[in-house]
Amino acid sequence: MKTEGDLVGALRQAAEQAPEPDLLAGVGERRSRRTRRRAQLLAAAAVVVVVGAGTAATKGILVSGGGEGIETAAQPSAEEDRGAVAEPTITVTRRLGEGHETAQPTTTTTVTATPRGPAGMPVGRLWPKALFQMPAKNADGWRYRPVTGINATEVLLMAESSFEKAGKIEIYDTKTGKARLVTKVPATKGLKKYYPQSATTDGTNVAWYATGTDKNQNRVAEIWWVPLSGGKAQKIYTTTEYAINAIGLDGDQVVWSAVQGGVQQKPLLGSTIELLSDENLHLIHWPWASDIGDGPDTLEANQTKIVNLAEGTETRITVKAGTTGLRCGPTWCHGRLDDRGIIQRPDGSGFRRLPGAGFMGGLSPYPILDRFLQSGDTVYDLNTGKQAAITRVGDWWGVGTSSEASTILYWGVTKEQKPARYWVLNLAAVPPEQ
Amino acid sequence: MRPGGVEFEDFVRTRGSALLRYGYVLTGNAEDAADLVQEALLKVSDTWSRVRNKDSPEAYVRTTMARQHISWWRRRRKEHVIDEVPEGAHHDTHTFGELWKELATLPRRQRAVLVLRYYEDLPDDEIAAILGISRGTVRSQAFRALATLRIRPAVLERGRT
Repeated sequence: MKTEGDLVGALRQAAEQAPEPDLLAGVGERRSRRTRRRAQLLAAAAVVVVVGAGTAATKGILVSGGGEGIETAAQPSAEEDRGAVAEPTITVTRRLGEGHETAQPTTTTTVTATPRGPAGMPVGRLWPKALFQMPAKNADGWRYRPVTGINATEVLLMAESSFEKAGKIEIYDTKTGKARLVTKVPATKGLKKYYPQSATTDGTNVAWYATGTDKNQNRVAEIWWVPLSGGKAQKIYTTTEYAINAIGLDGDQVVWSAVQGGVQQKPLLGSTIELLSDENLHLIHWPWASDIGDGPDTLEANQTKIVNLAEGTETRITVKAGTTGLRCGPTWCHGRLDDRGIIQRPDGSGFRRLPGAGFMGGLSPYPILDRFLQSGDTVYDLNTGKQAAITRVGDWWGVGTSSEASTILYWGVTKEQKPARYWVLNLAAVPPEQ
Repeated sequence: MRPGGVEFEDFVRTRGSALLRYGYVLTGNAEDAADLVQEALLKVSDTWSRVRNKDSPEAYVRTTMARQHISWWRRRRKEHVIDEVPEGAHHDTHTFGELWKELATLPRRQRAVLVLRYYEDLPDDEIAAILGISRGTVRSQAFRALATLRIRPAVLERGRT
């Protein structure tokens, strides 16, 4: 008779025989193959894509919230791709410079179709009030990481003393062109690998969760809050039982959900913790919750219902056969079908196929403000069907880091990795029907 | 700014070997191991900005691999190739080699449960969470797998955390 120890030994010894291939090369090869497959699909569907400024078609690979569409766009059109895309050549109007600052001289050239590129009207022309520049650093010289738009003119910011070490919460106001301090972000003594994570705001307060490791190697999750008017941050919850992955505010209550699901609520000033549903729901944006988390196994899964936790009502979602990755806010859903992006309403109406491989979202996969989808170089307005094109001089862009889908997209005014100023698109500043 | 691409590459460089070892004990052969790891990394790289915010991106990748291996993965590759464990100096090599071959006869879920329990050293409730099955199923799958391999369970239940 063999023992468990033999099994442990067999597995350990076998593991030493594991192969050592070049993983990065392997992943790159797989990505190119997938891109070619998509290019063929796109060509077959005779999709005409207008490529904007030259930058976005070949760059933009180091994006955060990167989506499949982005990678597709990032592939230089190699010879074999040209074959795959077959004959269709399209006329490209190459805008020089930012494109949305002022009228730029344009040159027209004809190139082979790239699977995707920014399509639509330059964002500065479509939504002039939503686009602005701001400093990339605070008064201490710390780099800003935008969180989300509080309203049409104010942006919530984390200022980082070093990478991912949030130091201060500030608010930049486009009306005054100035930033003000909300609070210093404290770190709990005794915790290692301490990182403030996603934050949320309801326009009155800001709350965030932070994670760290205690001396017994337990993972610790904390919840903090402070009024936007300013003050000292208060820690109101600590747990080692589970990891938090979403947070929201409901007046004088903070609401959060666990990675495994389960939405809980606690007063900002009080101690009673209430479980808001018996189900393993995941908070999207108060009061809305989903039955699907954002774990590795659920990227392809479809959300089947959307729950209003304030009213205790739920709406079943109608899913077309073959759809994957469907995510719905109360009004709009997006997902993928046959390698194409699709949109629909929760009841299945308003179904449309989108050009390209779809919008992947940023840190939150749900439509921004239940209205917009972004893919880094394109923002799609679900309400109006309009599309805004973003052109950049640099090769990166970022999305805001709020728990709910952030209203902020930003990129460098200049080409550097660490520019002195950001271009910021705040979708909270787009008027309802524009 | 979150330069996801750069961090992802660092992650692959530093953790790639460990992931390959894990992929190897899950799949039982070099080719499938490399395929499994690369597919999981490709999938994860698409949403790296979200993944890297997790407590442990590596645990996330490993979960992806375990689930991928026992679900759609099996549809792609029907035949099994079992790598021989070469003779080594270890006195138990014979037993180990035999056990390694016998592992290939197990259904994938049973094998995954054993790998998570005896290679990853995880408690049953974590295995249940990773594979999306109940703790009772973890125990029954492990029990059956051990019986097939003629291994005497040392403990009936493993609840250590």
